[in-house]
Amino acid sequence: MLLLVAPAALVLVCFQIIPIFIGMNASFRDWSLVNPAKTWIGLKHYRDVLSDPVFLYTVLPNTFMLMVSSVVLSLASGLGLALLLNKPFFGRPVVRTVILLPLTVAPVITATMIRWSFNDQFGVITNLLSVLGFPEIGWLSDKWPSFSLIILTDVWIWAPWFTIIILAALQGLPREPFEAAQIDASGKWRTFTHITLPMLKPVIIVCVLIRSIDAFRTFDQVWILTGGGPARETEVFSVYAYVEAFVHLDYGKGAAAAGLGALIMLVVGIGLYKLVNRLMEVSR
Amino acid sequence: MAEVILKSVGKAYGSHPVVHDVSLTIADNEFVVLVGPSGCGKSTTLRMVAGLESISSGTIQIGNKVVNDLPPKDRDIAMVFQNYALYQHMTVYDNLAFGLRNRRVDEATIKKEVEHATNILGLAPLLSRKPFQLSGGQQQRVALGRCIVRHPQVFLFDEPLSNLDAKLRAQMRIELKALRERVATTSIYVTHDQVEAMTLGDRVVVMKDGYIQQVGTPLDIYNRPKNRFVASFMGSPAMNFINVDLIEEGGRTRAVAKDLSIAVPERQVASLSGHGNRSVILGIRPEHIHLGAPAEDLGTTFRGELTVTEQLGSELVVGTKVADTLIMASRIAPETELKLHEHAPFWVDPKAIHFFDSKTEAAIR
Repeated sequence: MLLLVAPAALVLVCFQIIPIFIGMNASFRDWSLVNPAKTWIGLKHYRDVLSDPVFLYTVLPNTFMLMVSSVVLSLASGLGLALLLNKPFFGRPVVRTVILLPLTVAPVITATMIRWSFNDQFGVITNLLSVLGFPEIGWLSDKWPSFSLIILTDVWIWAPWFTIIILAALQGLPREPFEAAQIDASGKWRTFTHITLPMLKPVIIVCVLIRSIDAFRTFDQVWILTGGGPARETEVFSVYAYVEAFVHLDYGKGAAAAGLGALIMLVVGIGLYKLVNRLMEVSR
Repeated sequence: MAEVILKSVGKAYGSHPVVHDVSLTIADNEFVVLVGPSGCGKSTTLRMVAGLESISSGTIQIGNKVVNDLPPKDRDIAMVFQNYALYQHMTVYDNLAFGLRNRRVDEATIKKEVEHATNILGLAPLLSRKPFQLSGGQQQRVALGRCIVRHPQVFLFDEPLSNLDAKLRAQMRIELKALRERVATTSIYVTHDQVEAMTLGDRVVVMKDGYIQQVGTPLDIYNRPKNRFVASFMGSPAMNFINVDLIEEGGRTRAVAKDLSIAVPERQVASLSGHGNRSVILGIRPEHIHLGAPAEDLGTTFRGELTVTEQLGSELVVGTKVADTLIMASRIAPETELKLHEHAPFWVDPKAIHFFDSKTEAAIR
């Protein structure tokens, strides 16, 4: 039996367990490309990261803001689209396919497309907005506009994911409670809030859980769109760790940041999991 | 409380008709059962009354109102579904109250109505539970409660007992019957179970392929089936059918098949002689075939090889091969000792012989 799991275990050990230990080891050492001595310095990197005002007051709030806003907005738009697509209309198969397209595009490409669309000189959207008479916005040069673009990109990528899963759930819902609600004189909105949503709740909760954990480590969109700029204003956790490790070539500090991130995610994950469990109990 | 009148009601999905020209008047407080095999259009008919299906032709009237174009909520009906259709995330109380809250009834009245319904149904200890914490029978009772609290003009039941196991079904059938006495309301009940049809209905409507086959009291349907389908559908084990030829023999009309010759009862000779075709279908219910010989010669005896026996404890059911047909005889004393493949004598109660046209399958009376 053990022999049967050996190949998978070997891959896991080689590419996950060992690298984690190497990373943890690095986080306790002064380990950089310019200092090959790898001096043991204990928790210094952790102290440095935790006392870094950029990490505490920009990176962490940004990360959670991105996580919450991206998940909430893509859930809302995904749910809306799923409800629309659940009704038969002419051309529904085409619309359904088109809506799924963002999922087939690599996030790097999506982010590049958005960056060019909002380019201050050549951007299609910036030009369109100025033709329409909107005041000029520094889409990629001011904090909030660029942060909004990051969120927009994330929503653009992930809303279809919510759509397909919620649509599948909608189509799997039994018909009878809705018919009973019709007889019970429940209006459209009340049916949605009192019947549809509670019935979708288990699926929505699982989606939110998976997406939240995933959103915590968002990297591509941020790196391509703003690179964490302007002036580290839009930096999120994954960019912070990447910059420390691979731009400043301070592997030790990068590893410490990554380790802290993993810890934070562990705590957030357990919290979310407990919340999900409680909500599931309630919604059953 | 209201009369329900269906006038030439039809339903077609595209060019595919599923219900044809159904006309039926259900009196105030009457309990009518629509029964038939699956796909006979009984549920569709019920759903058209509920407003869950549009009506392709004809009119449906509830009370004095034609309801063809009214949404379900404005028809003043309540419905019990086969799989209960409870709101799984709401407590029993909220399930019962939902319809009233939507109609903006004040909470005090809702509380009173819920209490009234739960007392009738014995649900009081379960009010704070959720449906998934209830047994099938309890869930179905909640579904009934949801109807009772509303005091609708018509109750609609769509195979409400089909999801329950046999024992619970029998128990709920009796409860439904008792409930009828306490909550008198015009009711339409759909089922494929002939026992439910026989026991619950004031009148039974037998349907097949979207057509009404016969409407009548349960006994009427059982004793005077209009055609072979109705005769075979109602009753268990089903009525035996044998293709026979009518011949005159010694001044009596006899129904004759291979291994079988049965004297036609006097009261049926006239209608049969008026019937052109001499080949007809003989129908005899299993309980009217007796083992042994009658006290006096009725001319309805036959012998057959025993091919199957079913011991039910309260009775013995026996199958015998006559005229290449398996004939079932029921209500034989369970202690009777029989050997398979031996030939045994049987006799038929002449008062309970049916004849059907071999082409149209309509009863010959």
